[in-house]
Amino acid sequence: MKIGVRTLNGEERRLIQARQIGAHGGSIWAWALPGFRENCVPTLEGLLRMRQRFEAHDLLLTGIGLGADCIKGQLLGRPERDDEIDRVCQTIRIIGQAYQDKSAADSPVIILDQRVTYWARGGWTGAARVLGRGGVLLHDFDASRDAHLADEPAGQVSLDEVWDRITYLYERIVPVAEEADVRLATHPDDPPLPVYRGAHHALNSFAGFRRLFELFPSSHNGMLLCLGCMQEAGEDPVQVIRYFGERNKVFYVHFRNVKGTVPHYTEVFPNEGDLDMLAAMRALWDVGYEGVLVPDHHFGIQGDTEWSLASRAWQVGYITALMQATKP
Amino acid sequence: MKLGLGAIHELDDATLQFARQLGVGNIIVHTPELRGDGFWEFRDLLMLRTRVEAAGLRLYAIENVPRDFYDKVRLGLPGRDEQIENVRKTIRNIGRAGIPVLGYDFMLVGVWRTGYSPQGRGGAKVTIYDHELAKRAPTFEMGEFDDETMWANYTYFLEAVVPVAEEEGVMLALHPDDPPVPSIAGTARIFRSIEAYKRVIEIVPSPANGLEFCQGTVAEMCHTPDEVYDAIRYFVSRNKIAYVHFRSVDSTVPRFAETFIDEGRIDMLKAMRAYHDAGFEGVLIVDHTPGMVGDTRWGHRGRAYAIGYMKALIKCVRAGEGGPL
Repeated sequence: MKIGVRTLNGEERRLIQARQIGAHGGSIWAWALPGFRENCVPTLEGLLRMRQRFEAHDLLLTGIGLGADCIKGQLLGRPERDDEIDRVCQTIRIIGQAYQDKSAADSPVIILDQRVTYWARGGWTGAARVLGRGGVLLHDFDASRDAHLADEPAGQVSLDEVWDRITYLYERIVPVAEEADVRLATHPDDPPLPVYRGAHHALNSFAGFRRLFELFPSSHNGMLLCLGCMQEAGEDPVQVIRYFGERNKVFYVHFRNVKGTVPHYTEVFPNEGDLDMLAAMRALWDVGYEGVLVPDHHFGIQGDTEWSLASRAWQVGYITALMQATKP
Repeated sequence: MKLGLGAIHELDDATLQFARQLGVGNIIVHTPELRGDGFWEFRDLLMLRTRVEAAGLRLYAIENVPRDFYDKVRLGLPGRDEQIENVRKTIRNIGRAGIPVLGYDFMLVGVWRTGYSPQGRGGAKVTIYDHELAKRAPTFEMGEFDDETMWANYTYFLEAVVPVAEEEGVMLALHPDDPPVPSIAGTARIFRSIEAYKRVIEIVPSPANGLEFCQGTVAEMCHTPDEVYDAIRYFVSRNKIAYVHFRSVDSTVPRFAETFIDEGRIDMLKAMRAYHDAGFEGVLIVDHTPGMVGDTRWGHRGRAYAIGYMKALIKCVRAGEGGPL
């Protein structure tokens, strides 16, 4: 297993810091790549440059977050989705080209999210910052903060409709991912409520992912297993690791912890949450997981840098020790 | 086992808050600037303690009094008895203020390094000691001091202060000589081996005669990592370790560089397991960490990294990870 961090933009300074705190790799948003903001497709040259930049710092580019801006029509089930999906396919092919010398396991995964409500007005309004130990700022979610809001952005969307949209996308991109030898890692719906702002969530649970993999049983179709999301959802993340890990469906792991489950939970330090991170780590070794572990979200420590370096360092230190201590 | 933040010269609210946010419960203040001509006043020490406690933390130790509080004692010069009297006064005041530990050292030329260069992971800056370079140092301004003299000076000091510390319930904690080489600038560095550390606790047997176990320095002096784990068990099982500097290095004297906590020559899980299994109840602090890009001078982010790492190690050893030694 390896340690990964979210660099978001791939900035040089962050890569140096990532390496110094012992990370082996990092992810970026697709928009950090030349061409993506303009065309929703990165240039091959731009991606190769990003790859080189990571490798110059002895880091792997482990994941590329597609984001939602370029698949808005797909998520909302609108006709423009065909063009969008075509661009997603081009993006997959470009990643495959940029890593044609590498196996899929050593190439960046594409991180996908299928939550319909990305553009809900007011954003993720159930979220707030609350104070943790010593006044550290924590992310907190409480669905009751959203209760008065209208269904957004597209009224009510049934579970069947959400699955139709997911199916429409995956039946087009999974074959391309296979051909390009690039892996798709789908992130769970966060917050993992059954329904959020009127739209059903299909991928908010163990069952949702099992269905996704039944529908598209490709070796290139897997999950970004966010342990925090699974814990928030009331699932047993250790069982989720075991079930999907044994089936080689875990491509990427967000190794974070929470207290509470939907409708109200707080993101906390890994040693303070409801999930036993040591048990999670042991399970990951047991199933032979070889990908990255990413601390994902960070805490507001006083005087921290804009990239939350103190929080990130603490979390990476914690994960590193767990990983080294349990290594079989 | 508890975690703390140390190397805090100037106590301020931000540092105390930072400690709480990292999830540590103890503070070790390093040579605080307090009033006092040759000794520290009870009231200032009490204020220091209550200030830490007001932030929800414990003031576990003070590391080092100003060097000139007992320079004549180290050198064995006339006037040392007056200084010793003052040190005793300071120890009494520390005890009455409710601060459990006083860390100290007995080096004439202090901690020594010969370099600070970006050769650490990802270009992090690490301190380096190379004895070949240090050998060129001119002789110490007060002349040469051999092993015998230093042991005599130290024993004189220890015998004079330990009874007072014992009476007041203060544990004195000796830092080893870092780097642990026979001499620098003509001054003997007597606490350069595990044997010397053993001798210290035997000269004056007392629960108040303890060690500031700088694991970094110990790693610099031991030929094999196993000797380090053995030393941990030896001293912890005798209740001799007041607190630990939990850090690592890449090699031993005559040449070594400091490293990030997870990549040195010591298996930190085994070390933590040794403290745990021997029943260590004191505090572990980070001491110092490599200099990272975008970190502060004090190393907030490097310390955060080490604390996160130590938190997880403690969890692991308590859960039985690390196997038998």
